[in-house]
Amino acid sequence: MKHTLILLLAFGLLATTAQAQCRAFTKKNCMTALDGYIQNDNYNSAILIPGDEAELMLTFLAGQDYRLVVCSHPVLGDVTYEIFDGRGKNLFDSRKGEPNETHVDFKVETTQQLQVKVQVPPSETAIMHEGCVTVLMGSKS
Amino acid sequence: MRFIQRTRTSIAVLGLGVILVIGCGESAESSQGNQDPVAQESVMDSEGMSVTKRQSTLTKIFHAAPSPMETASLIKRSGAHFHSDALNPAGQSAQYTTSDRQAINLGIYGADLSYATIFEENSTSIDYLEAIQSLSTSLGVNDVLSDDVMGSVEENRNDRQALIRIVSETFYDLNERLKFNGQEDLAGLVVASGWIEGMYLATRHLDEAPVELKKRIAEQKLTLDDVMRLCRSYEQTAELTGLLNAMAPIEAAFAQVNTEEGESTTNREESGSFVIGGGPTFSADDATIQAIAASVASVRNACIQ
Repeated sequence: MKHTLILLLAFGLLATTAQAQCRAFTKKNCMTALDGYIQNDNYNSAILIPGDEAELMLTFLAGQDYRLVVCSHPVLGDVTYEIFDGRGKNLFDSRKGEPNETHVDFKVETTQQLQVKVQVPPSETAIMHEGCVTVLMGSKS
Repeated sequence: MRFIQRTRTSIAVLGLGVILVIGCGESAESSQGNQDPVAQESVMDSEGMSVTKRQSTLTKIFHAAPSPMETASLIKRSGAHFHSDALNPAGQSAQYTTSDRQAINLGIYGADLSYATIFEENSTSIDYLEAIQSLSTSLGVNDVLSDDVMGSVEENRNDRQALIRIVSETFYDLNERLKFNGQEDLAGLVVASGWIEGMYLATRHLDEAPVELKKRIAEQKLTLDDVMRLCRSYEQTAELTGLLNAMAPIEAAFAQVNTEEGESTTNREESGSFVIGGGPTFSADDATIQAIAASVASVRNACIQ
C-alpha cells in the first residue's frame, strides 16, 4: 500500500512538474520580451511537439499599441506564426522576412478580433522532443 | 504469490498514474489530429523541453480576453473622468466568504484597481491591492501578492508606470496560478466579473460621457464575445454557469449594436510596427447604450452582494 501511494504521488508530481517547467520557462525566457508593455492577464502556454499548431483569437482595441510575442523552446525549431482578421484574411506572416521573428508590434485603427495561428515545424528525427510554447500579448496607450 | 500481487499492484498503479497525469494536464481545448493520451507523460527538463512519447499532432486552442487595464485605458483615453463613487468599496472584501464570491469580487476589485491605477489615484490603488491580497489569501493563491510585492507597491506608490506593471503582473500570475491549481472555473469567474466591472465603470455617468466613449462601449460587443468564449471553454461549475447565464441580458443588449464589416489593410511604419486599418465598425443609438448600461449594472450589483 505504501508503494502504491508513493507511485501515485510520483505520477502526480511528474504531471505538475511538466507544467511547472513550462511556467518557469515562460517566466525566465519570454516575459522580458514585453518590457515597456502592459501584459495581458491571460496565461497561454502549452507543451507542443513538432507538427502541432496553436490558435488564439482576441479582440484588439483601437488606439492601443500591441506587441504579440510567440516564445518557444529552441528544441522545437523555427516556430512560425500568422495573424488573420475576422474574415480570414492573412495580415502578417512571420516567415516572410520580418525583422524580428519572435514578436510583432502593431496597432489597429478599429477595434477588431484577430486570430493568431502558431505552427511548430514538423520533424523527421527518430526521437522527437516536446517543448514549451507561449503566446503573450502586451499593450500600451 | 506475493510477486504476482506486487506486479498486479504495479500495473494498476501505472494505469492510475497515467490517468492522473492526463487529468492534471491543461484543460484548454485541443482539436484536430488524434491526441495521444500519453502526451503529458514525460517531464520537461529544467530548460522547458524533453523527449516526447506523443506521435500524433494536435491544435491547441488558447482563449483570452482584454484585461481590465485595457478597458480602464480605453475609458481614460476617451476623456472620461474618475468616479470613486462607482467603485465597490475595498472595505467589503471580508464579506465574501465562499470561493466563488471571492473569485468574483477578486475580478471586480481587479477592475477597480486597474481603473484607479490608470487614473493615478494611487492611494485608492493601494487600498484595492490590500483587498485583493486578502481575497487571494482566502483562495489559497496568496503568493501572487506576497509581502515583497506589497513592499514594492509601497516603494513605488507615486510611480504610475511601476504600479501598472505590478498590477498587470499580479493578475497574470493569478490567472496562471489558478489554472495551474486546476481552478480554471475560478479563473473564469475572475475574468468575467472583471469584464463586468470594467464595463460598469465605463457606463457610469453616461450623461456626461464623451461621444468617443459611447463608440468604445459599442465595440465591447467583441470583448464580450472573447469573455464568453473563454469562460465556456472551462469546466462549467454551477457558479460559473450561473454567472454566464446572468450575463444573458448583457448579450441581448449588445446584440442591438450594429456592425458593418470592412476589408482589413496593413501598412508598415518606419518604426517597423504595423498598422492594421479597415476592419469592422460598430454603432449604437442612445437607447442601446442605456440598455447595455442597465444590464451591466444589474449583473454587477448582484456580483458585489
